[in-house]
Amino acid sequence: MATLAAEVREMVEEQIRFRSLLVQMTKRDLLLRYKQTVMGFAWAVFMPLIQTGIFATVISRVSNFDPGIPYPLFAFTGVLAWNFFAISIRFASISLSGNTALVSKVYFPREIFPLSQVLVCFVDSLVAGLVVIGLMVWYGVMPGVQVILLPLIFLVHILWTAAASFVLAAANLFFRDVKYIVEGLLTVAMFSTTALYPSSEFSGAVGLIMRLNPISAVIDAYRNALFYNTPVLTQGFLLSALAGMFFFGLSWLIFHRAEHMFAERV
Amino acid sequence: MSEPKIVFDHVWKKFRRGERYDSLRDLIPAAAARMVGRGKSESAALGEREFWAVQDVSFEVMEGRALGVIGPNGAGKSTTLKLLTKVLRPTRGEFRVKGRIGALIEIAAGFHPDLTGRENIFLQGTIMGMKHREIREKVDEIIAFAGVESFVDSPVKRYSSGMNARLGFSIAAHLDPDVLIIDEVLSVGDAAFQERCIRRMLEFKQRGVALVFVSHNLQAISQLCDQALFLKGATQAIGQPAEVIRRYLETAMVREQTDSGSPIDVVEARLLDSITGEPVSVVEPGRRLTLRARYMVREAVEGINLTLVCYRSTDMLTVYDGNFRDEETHINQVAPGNEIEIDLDLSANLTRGQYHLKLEVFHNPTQTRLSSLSPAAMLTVEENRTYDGIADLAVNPVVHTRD
Repeated sequence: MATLAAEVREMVEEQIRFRSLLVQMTKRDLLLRYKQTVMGFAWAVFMPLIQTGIFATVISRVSNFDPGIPYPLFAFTGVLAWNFFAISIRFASISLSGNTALVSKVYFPREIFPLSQVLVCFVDSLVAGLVVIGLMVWYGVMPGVQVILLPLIFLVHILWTAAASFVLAAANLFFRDVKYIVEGLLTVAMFSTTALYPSSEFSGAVGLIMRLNPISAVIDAYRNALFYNTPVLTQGFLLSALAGMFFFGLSWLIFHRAEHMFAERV
Repeated sequence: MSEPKIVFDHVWKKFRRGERYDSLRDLIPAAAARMVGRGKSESAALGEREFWAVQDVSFEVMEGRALGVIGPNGAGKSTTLKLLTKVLRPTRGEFRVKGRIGALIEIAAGFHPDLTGRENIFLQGTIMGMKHREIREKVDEIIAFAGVESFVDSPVKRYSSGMNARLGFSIAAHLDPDVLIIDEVLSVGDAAFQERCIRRMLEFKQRGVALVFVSHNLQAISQLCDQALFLKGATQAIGQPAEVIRRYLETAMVREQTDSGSPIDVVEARLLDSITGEPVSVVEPGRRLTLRARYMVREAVEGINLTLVCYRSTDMLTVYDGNFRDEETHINQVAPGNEIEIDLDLSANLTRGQYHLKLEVFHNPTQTRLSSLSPAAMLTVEENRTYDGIADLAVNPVVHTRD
């Protein structure tokens, strides 16, 4: 136990020491993502808008449920929250294998590669979040007092995303199959969350899977805070938060223990 | 007595040829054992397809001292540096590095082609451990040192390879480390830039930085380092650079002899002291020497040039290149099927250093090389005078007082 505590302290200290590098790498990736594009950051807004447009059209045809707020607002928030998770993982899982030169030649904590990808996506999502504000103004939806818990939701969301990113980035170094598996799963997995429809629409096994999906709890929490002004700290969200903390710690530890093999595997 | 900045204590590093795991079935138990930190993760014995890239290597580097690492390709030089910088973890053995490490393993490793020079300075600088404020203060100096002022806002993918390398070294040159680790940076850049690099490294030493320096430029090693390590998996030699370089050159210089069967062959050569007739390899400047060479004459050919070339081994500088024709050697008068011996008498008018001699046989009318032998002999020149360089200009300071 004492050695584990020492290890965790070392992991955290290293991150603190190299914090300016994390900022630099995030800046680098933000610069790179929109360099030589005409629209730049507008892409961050544009993609989820298109997705929402498509889903809104399709889903409003095949089912009729009342989310209690205009469906575009409901769906856009869900898509945005899901995209942060999915796109972060997509980029993070190839962040080590795509940086051969750095991984094999220079030493710094390798956590920086997946973490900077998560931060880049977070910045992107914040930009796209302006659309949520725009839509709220347009539809006249006002947030209540629960909105002050928004930072906490961000934190849980990031914990889950980083947890998945650590494990998948390391795994992809050992098996390049991982990135294909990730691609495949992510395209399907969105439909097992509450991104596009509330879980109350489903009963039985499907509904259970949706409710168990930790990202569903996060998406619901965003809606509770922003639109419904219902309590954010539901049992589901608290469970998701605790599990997120646990898996974040576990996958960081796995990543850290595998770290010394990265230079030989990349 | 201060403590060493770097201690490398019986370090071993094992690598594996080919792919590590053939199937998931092999990986999962092995990985699981490793994660838990149990299992005989890194055993001392070599498994199948494994080999020691670095074998029981030890050294120490004190403050303000430089260690030069030399050896053939694949000798574990870069691996040693990667172990020092913690990119790799030793299989066995331990090491300690005190203070801030600056490393230049591959120039421009952290560069991103799509970012501009200036953006890359900030990125690479941070990777090397500089603080943002520190980089901001030094950025103009870095740009000037690299000589890329007019391109600093273009993406580095538009840079020439020399510009890239200069910018990379320039960033490292503006670090403020306690220990600096450099891998083969002198192979890039023009002569002026190389000169600047060496001067910069000397400045680092004066500031008390401990340097570890891998290079194939033996001249730079002998100029810069207080200690040299000749590596070939295991340590072959460690100690005074001149001595270690000599040992390295002796093993590295494979005698190249052209296929026999040409009309005239140079068969063998020995370097002798002209007076005693004994074989020599270490001399003082000015010693009279004889290179006794044996040639096999299979056909009588006219217009033969026998050449003797002398190189400084550490940088392949030609210090002498001479031709001897039929009139001097009379090799055209030798009856076919006979061997002759020719003594080339010479003076070792050389400065301190490592040299080797090459013998060649040329057919002048057709401009073809019939035969060659290199190195025909190796020669170490030792002297106690203080000057370096390739020639003794016999400089004599004369002081005139003006009043």
